[in-house]
Amino acid sequence: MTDESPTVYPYIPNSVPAVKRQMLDAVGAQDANEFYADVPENLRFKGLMNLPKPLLSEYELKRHVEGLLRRNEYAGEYLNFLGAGCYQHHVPAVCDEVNRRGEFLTAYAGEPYDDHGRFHALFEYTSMMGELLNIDVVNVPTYDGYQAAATAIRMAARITGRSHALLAQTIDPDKLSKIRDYCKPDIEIGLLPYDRDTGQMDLDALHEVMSSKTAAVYFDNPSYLGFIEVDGDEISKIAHEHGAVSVVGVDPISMGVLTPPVGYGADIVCGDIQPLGMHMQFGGGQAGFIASRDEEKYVMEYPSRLFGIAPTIMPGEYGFGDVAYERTSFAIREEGKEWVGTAAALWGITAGVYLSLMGPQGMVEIGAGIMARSQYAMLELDSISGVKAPVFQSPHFKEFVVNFDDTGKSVAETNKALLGEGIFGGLDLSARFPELGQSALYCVTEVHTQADIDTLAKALQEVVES
Amino acid sequence: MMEDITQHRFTNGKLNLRRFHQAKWDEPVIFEMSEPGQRGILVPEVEDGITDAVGDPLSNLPEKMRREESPKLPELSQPQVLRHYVRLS
Repeated sequence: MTDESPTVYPYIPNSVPAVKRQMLDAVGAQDANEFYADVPENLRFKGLMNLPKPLLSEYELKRHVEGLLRRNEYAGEYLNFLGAGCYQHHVPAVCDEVNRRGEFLTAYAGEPYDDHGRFHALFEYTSMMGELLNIDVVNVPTYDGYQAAATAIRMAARITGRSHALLAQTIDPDKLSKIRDYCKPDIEIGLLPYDRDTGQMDLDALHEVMSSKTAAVYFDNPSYLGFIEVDGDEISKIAHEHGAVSVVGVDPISMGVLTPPVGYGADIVCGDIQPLGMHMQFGGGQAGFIASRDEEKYVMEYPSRLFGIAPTIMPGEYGFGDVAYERTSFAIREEGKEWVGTAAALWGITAGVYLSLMGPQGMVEIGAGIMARSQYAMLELDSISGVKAPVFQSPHFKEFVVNFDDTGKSVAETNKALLGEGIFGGLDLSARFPELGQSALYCVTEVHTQADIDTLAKALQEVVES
Repeated sequence: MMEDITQHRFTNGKLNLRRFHQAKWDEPVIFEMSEPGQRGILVPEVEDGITDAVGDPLSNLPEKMRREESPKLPELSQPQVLRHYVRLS
């Protein structure tokens, strides 16, 4: 805690020894250790931490970190077909330009009166998401799409006063794991089987297991395995017949072309906004949304912040602020419905920038373009002897399952060989979905050209023939 | 000898200057700036080779899963979007 070294740290003001001495003298302290007098001796750290020698200059530090980064094999250099929740889409330059503005980057806990611009920008984000999802209420971002799904299910349980949730078995196993974490210990999770040919949720099974205890039926659309769940209207109808809430997880970048979940009866819609202008950042670029009708029994169960607009005393001027703040854990720490954080607000602003750049036409074109490219990739891969693409006979959006059983090669082997060709093959599903055999989840977006897809097909052909 | 002008900053210990002046705009809500047909960014076109192979990519979607009306997002040019958000920041 005391540092007698003569180093003047540029990141710490007043670290010049003479200035430090002056400050200590001003408060009548011999040394900075006296400020820790209240911490019992046995709780204080002694000695030096086992850390490498500090890199004091910015240049040395930059060089060191760049050396670490150079060891990465990344999607900027490789041809990437991985998705599964974190997607490679084009990030418009304006998105980066805006979210690197120091005023937004560091805006963490401001209030409407001193942080007007951030409230304004996030109000616009929630409004644009409302248009995209064709829905009334959208929250300020949650940590990520996993948390959004878990919280949406918890909201359904509070709304219905019930404690069972039924989830499509085709859900992302990582998302399922987070949902289980958030739903412990009082909400029971059940999985609904799927049709092996189409991937679609088994509606007979749903009929059978629905009961007066069911709070929510949850499915992703497009599903984790890429196919589109086409009977959302039936699923919602069955849920509603039993007084349950229909909760749908959605990929927002598909919303220019696919019917928004409210169109097939969803009561709560959730998902991750990473596709809308966020880079793939090892999880750091994820942020979740939750949306619903403007109905009090729904609105009052959001744990998240909701921003609204109101006139001020100045004619023609807008003010922005929290709506029904008393719901949140910020207002009532000990009685909040759920704990919420503010970690992802910057991405809300970024997604707002993305949507305002794209506009209606951009969202339609990108959705159709992604579907065209992924369909082309399925055709190309399916034409390779022993390779089946897609595994599920259903419409798909940007991802699809590719099966390698008849090639006699495992996904691990094919991916290793592809890596040697500078290609990241699809996510290996063999451990996550053993019933699918040697299958991988491939992702194709607007970043892939016809030549990119042909390169993949050619490389895969060589791999399976070798 | 040059005059020490720092002495003129204070009168009886009180600063004579404005201390801080924040930029401020009466910025509209982004939807108000929308003009039909404006584009903020263009997306890569699908190559003819892909279109020839797959045709209409939406044709295998059941009618009920195809969005009927485009989302009512604002339509702005790129500099308008950038300027708007820089002002909000």
